[in-house]
Amino acid sequence: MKYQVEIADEKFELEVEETDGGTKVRMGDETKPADLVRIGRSPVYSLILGDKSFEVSVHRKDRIYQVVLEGSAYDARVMDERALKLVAAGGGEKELKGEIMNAPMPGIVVGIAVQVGDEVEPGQGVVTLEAMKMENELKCSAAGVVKAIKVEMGQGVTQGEELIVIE
Amino acid sequence: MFEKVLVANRGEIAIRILRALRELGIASVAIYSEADRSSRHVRQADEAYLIGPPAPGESYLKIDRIVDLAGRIGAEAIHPGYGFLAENAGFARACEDAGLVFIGPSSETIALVGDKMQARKTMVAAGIPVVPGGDRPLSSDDEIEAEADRIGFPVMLKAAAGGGGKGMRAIHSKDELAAAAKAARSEAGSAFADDRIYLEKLIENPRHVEFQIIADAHGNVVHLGERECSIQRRHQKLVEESPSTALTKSLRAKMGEAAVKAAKASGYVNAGTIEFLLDGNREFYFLEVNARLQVEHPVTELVTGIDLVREQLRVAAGEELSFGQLDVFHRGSAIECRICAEDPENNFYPSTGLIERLREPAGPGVRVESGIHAGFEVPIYYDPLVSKLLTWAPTREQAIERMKRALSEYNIEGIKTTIPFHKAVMESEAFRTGEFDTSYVDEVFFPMYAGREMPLPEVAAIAAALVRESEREEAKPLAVADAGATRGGWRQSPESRTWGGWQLHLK
Repeated sequence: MKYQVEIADEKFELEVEETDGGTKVRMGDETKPADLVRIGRSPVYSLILGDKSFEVSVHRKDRIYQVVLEGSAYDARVMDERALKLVAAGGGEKELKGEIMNAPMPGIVVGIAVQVGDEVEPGQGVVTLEAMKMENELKCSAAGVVKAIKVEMGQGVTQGEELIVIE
Repeated sequence: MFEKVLVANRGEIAIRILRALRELGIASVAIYSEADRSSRHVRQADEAYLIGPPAPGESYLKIDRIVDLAGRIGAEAIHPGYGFLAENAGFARACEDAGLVFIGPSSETIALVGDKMQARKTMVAAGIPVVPGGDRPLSSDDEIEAEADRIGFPVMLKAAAGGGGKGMRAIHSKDELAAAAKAARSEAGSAFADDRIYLEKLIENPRHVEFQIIADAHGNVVHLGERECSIQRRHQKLVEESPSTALTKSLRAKMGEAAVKAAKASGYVNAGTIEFLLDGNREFYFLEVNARLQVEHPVTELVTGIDLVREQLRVAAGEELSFGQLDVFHRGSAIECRICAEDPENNFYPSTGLIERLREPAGPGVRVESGIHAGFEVPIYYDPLVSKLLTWAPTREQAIERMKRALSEYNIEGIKTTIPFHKAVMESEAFRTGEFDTSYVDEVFFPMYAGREMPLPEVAAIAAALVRESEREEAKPLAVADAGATRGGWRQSPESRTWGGWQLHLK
């Protein structure tokens, strides 16, 4: 099966093949044997890739796999061939294009700098969230008009919660 | 010695103190907010009491409630840890008035060193070098300008009640003065309810070197050497170590002597820290007294072998220090990395949530001071510091290698932490050579870090795809599903990475 994996802004295209000699992974024009073994029922895996041994932990949250490797956490968005075809056909992924601002972190709303109907520019501060004793001003990435404000002052929000809709 | 002590804090520092109490056979009391019912410190104490709702102002900062509780349950002393009420003279006084022992300096000493202008005056009188500057509050813009001219630019505006970088402004020329003064005054007013400001000469690109002191009530004051704290981001310490690469033996002796003098001049009893700035010519200046146990105290414990919390409890109970200055020896090199629940890939935003799995590093020379556990939901109400990772080794080089090894063993899963950031710091040339100052992280390292590539993204991508594949396999036999689908026009998009780059990382 072919996969496209997105980590941060990077895309990795690879292919996993089952052969008589075990699993092989192809990336670019190179192929390596890969052996992934889950350790009991835990989220920990032993990965032997070529002759290199790695320990990884993998937690799945919807389409995102959080991979912890040597102390660093990577959020990997995995799409297989079928999902990619759906996207290419225009039917698959819902594209938001910055029209809805989500909370990048959990926190308490301590500032709302816009009102419905306001015009906003990219980089303009719109909502301030407080968490862990620090205030963080969130800036919008798209230009447009504020269509809806989905939170109130003093409200607690979870990560990913919708804050503002910009059209 | 005490029979029962209340710990007025949470997280890793509460656990650190509870451990010392357990070792001394003292009954321990934890307090907790509604957000901390399942926190480790609650389970690690002999008694635990709910103190209020999650917000610190409703719980861990409630002086009356805490003092009242201590009296009711028969605790004889309160350890404040750091943060919260640790340097609150009003809290220390409330303890004293209620007949409780506050484990720290007296309320008078806290008040004296908490006022930066008063502290400066005291140190000048004791013959300790301070940053050149004024000892009086400046109210009008004219006054500020005259003072700046007298000292000479660049200057630093500071809040009298200051701390944590609040109300601080570096000023390089006359035309910046008025606006900076206005901003500093309003910031100081809202942070400390005290808008007095004063001017000091700006020491450019200094190093931040502090000395641990401890004093008993019998007049014995001892210093335990320095901690180098110049690796900071926006005035927040990230990495501390001892010894400092900037100190010679004679400079260390001079600064240590000044630290002991500073403690004596302020009537200090218990553990405290004297902070100094060190300029490019290795001249040192008194900065401030931290009237508490510091976050980074274990660095000193590792190089001296002294248990600072145990010693705090002993001197608070009226005993004499168990050692004198000549009994203090420094051995090897220790480093501390502050592990925070912040996402270094996303502007250091707080990253709270459920810790799904936790594996802490271990092995030779590794110490972990942690307040979290698997299954714990990191609350949004408190400090982002979730744990401190320390290593000790005979040499600094080995301590750095050990820290890199320990960081790579440390898996905190479910939230983002600053572990990858620390790994990059440990690998940086400036840290390895010891040539850095307080501006290094903000001005040199962070811009580099923000533009860097993650160390092993290819391996992470492969792991994620393989896990996905194994999930498919559970549903149906893979060999059949994929037969014939593996040939054909699968091309690399231009921006995607190839094995070539990937192999480089594995070397």
